[in-house]
Amino acid sequence: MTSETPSQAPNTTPPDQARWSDLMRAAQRGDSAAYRLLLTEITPAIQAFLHRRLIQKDQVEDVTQETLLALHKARHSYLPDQPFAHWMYGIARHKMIDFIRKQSRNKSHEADGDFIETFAEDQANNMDEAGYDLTKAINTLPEKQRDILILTKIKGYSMAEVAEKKGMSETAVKVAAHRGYQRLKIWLAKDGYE
Amino acid sequence: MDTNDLITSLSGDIKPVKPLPSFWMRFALLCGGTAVFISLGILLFADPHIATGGHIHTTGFIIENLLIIIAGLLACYAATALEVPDTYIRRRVIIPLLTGTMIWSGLIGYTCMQSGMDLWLSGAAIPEQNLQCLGHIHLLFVFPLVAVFIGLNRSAPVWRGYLGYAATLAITSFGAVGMRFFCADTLPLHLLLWHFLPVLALSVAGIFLGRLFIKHL
Repeated sequence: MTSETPSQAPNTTPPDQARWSDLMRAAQRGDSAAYRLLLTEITPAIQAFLHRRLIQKDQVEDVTQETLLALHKARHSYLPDQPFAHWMYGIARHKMIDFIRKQSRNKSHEADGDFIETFAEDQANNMDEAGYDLTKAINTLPEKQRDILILTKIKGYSMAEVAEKKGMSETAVKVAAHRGYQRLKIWLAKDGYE
Repeated sequence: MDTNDLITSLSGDIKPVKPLPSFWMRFALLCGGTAVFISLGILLFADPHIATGGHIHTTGFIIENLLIIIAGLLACYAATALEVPDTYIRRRVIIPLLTGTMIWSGLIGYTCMQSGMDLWLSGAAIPEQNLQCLGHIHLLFVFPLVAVFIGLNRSAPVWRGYLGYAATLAITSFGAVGMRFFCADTLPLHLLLWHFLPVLALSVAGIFLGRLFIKHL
């Protein structure tokens, strides 16, 4: 375990932290606009933090997204008397360590692109091979992620509707959908799709 | 998925959340809740003759249990700090947790030295009545641990193993104090095997329990 003192928190000034703290408190009260503004403003800071520690740009993007998701799940844990940067970078570091561990276990490559829509279109255009591969890929997912992907991307339900159907919170649906996309990217990249 | 799309998705129509209580409120809940549970256990189930027996009036008993309570409080402090993501953890986690662990290591080492090889060889620790301590362990260690781990799922820790260890060390420390009111046996070997080593074993198990049962962020 390592720690950083407040003076070492990178790329943030005290006014930033005070502002982010106010935005976070507003977000905890349900203010969507404040929350969107906060996430937009902290994303470059998280990316800069990760850039110094991760080598590849696509890795930084992935870990940034995982950090934002984790931050979203943990937003009830931010306390007003805690410096915002400590909380945010605590989560970012944790996600970075998680990512590095997974990389060393899987050594997987990730593909770019919004491939699900591409494949859904290919399927609609009767390209049987792509359609078959997508079906095969989706069938490898855990049941929850598979159902959510099918409901959102193929049947066109919104996240809120899926959450109601599955008896889950919207946050849990968003997290499961994101993780499903990541798994499919890895699976399809292995098959040569980019 | 693009990061901007993710931000749009996450920020669209968010619901209010109830923030966790403050640090000291959570600390008080963890310590106080455990103390109340153990006190109730003693009041309801302990034999009054044992609970007020001569063994609790000795200086050795007082010093030993004072040290154990300090270890428990330090572990509780560390567990409370670990519930929330933070980069500034050296003072709040590592120092208290190490100190609490060292107190227990010292106690176990001292009790080992006092036990003596003749007692180990005579099997003095194994008589049947010592198995009663197993029941006390369930009451004073296991039940509060289960309740605390359920409560910890509301938190958002990044170091689940350390949190499991700290929480278990805290609960079992207070439980070990409580056990002295159920058991009048002051034989060092008995204390070592049935009172102190279960604390060590459960605390180590707490690392794995934390990783298994506390929600991953």
